[in-house]
Amino acid sequence: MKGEPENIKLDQVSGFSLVYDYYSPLIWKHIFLRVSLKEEANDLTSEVFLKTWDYLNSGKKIKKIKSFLYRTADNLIVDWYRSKKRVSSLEQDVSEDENSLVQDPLLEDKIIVSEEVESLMKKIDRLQEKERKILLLRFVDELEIEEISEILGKSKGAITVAIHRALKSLDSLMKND
Amino acid sequence: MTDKEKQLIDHLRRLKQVQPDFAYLKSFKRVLENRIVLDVKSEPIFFFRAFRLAASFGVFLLAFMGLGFGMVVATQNIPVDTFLYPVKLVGEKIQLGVQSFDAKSRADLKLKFALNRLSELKDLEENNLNDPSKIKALLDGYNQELSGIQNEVLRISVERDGETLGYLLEVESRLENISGELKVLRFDSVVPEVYLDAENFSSFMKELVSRKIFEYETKNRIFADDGQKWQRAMNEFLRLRSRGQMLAFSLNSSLSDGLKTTALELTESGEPLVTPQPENTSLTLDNLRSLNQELDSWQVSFNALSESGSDEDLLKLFDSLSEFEARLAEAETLLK
Repeated sequence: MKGEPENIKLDQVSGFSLVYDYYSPLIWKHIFLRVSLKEEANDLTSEVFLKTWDYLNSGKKIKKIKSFLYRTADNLIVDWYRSKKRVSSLEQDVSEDENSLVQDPLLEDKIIVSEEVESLMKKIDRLQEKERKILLLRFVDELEIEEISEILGKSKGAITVAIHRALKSLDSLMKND
Repeated sequence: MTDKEKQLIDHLRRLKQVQPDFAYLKSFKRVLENRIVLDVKSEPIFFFRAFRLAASFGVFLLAFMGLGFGMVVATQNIPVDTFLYPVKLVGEKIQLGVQSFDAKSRADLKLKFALNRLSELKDLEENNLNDPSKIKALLDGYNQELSGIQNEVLRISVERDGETLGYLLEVESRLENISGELKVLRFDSVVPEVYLDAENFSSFMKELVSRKIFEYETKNRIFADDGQKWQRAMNEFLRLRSRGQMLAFSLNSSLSDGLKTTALELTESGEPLVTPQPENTSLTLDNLRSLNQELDSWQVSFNALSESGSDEDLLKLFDSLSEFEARLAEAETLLK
C-alpha cells in the first residue's frame, strides 16, 4: 500500500511511533468493523500495540509488521468473542432478556457513520464471523491474498475460496432484504 | 469476477468511510511512548550495552590473536558476486559495533557503507551481472544504511557547540555526492526503474539534513558559510506552503464529507439527528486562510531582500517561518 512505513527501526521510540501513526487508524477501523463497539475498538487497538511492543522489547524480531499487527488484532478479537460468549451465557441464566450478544452498538456508542454505512454494517454483522473477517481484510483493509494467508495461517488457495464463499453469503443476505 | 461480485465489493469498500476515534488514538500514543521510553531506559539498554561491551572486548581479543582487525579489513575487498559477500556485511556490522560511539560516528560509518553498496552496484552493472533481484537487494541495503543515518541525524542535538554545524554540512555534502553517484548508476542501468525508491529516499534524506541545519541556524542565530542560507529559507517556505495546501485540501474534503454524515442519535420523533460540523474545522480553515496570506507576504519580503538583505533580515524571515510552522502544527492537531 502506498505510504506504508518502511526501513524503520521498530525497537526505538521514533520508529514504533511512526508505525503507530500509520497503522493505528487502520487497525482501529478493522477492529471496530469486527466488534461494532467503539470502547472495545479503543481497548483492543491499545492492546494490539502494547502486545506488539512487548514482543519487540523481549528481543524478538518482526519481519512484516503489517501482518503481525493484523494477526495480533485477529487473535484478540477471537479471544474477545470467546469471553463475550461466556459472559452472555452466564447472563442468560440470570435474565432471558439479556441474552443478545450483539445489541445495538452503534446507538449505544453514538458512532458517527452515514446511514448507508450503518445499514451495511448491520448486514455484514449477520455474516458468520470468519466470513466477515475475510471480507473486511480483503476489501476494506485492501490486503493482498498473500498477506491474508500469512495472517490467518491458511494457504492462498483456501483464502481465495473463502472470499468467494463469503461474497456468496453476503449476496444472499442482500437478496433476502 | 462477475458484475454482481463487483457490485458487492463496491458496497463493502464504502465501509472505509468509518472514521476512527482519533482523539483516543492520540491520547493513547502518549501512553505508549511513555511506556517505550521507560522500557528502553531500563533493562534492555543495560543488557545491550553489556552485550556490546562484551562483543567489543571479544573482537579486540580476536584482533590481538591475529584474526580481528585483519579480518575486518580483509572483508572490505570481498566482491559482491562471490559466496563470501555476506562475510563483508558481517565485517561492517562488527566495525559499527567497535568503532562507533556516538550519533556522529555512527552516521559517518553508515554513509561509508551506503557508498560501499553503490560501488558494489557499479561492479555488478560493469560486469554485466545486472540481475534485477541482485540490484534490488543492494539498493535495499543502501536504503537501510540511509534509514540508519536518518535515525542518527534525528538524534543530533541542535544545541550550540563547535562541531555540529560543520558536521551537518559535511553529511549534507556527502549525501549530495552519494545521490550524484546513484543518479549516474541509474542513468547507465538496464533496469533504471529499480532505482526509483532509493533515489526518492536520497532526496528525502538531503531535505532532512538541510532542515536540521535550518533548525540549528534559527536556534543559535548563526549561519553556515556555505552560501545556501537564503536557499534554505526558501526551501523551508516551500515545505510549509505545501503542508498548508495539503491541510487545506483535507479540511475541505472533511467538510464536504461531513455534509453527508449523520450522528446516530435519534430525536424524540425517532428521526436521525443531524450533527453540526465541529467548530474546529471552520476555525482551522480561517486560520489556514490567514496563514496563507501571511506566507504570500513572506514571499514578497523574501524576494525584496534576497539580493541585498542582511543576516539580521534573514533571521527575521527565519523567525517568521518558525512561527508559521508552529501555527500549522497547531492547525494539524486541531484537525486530528
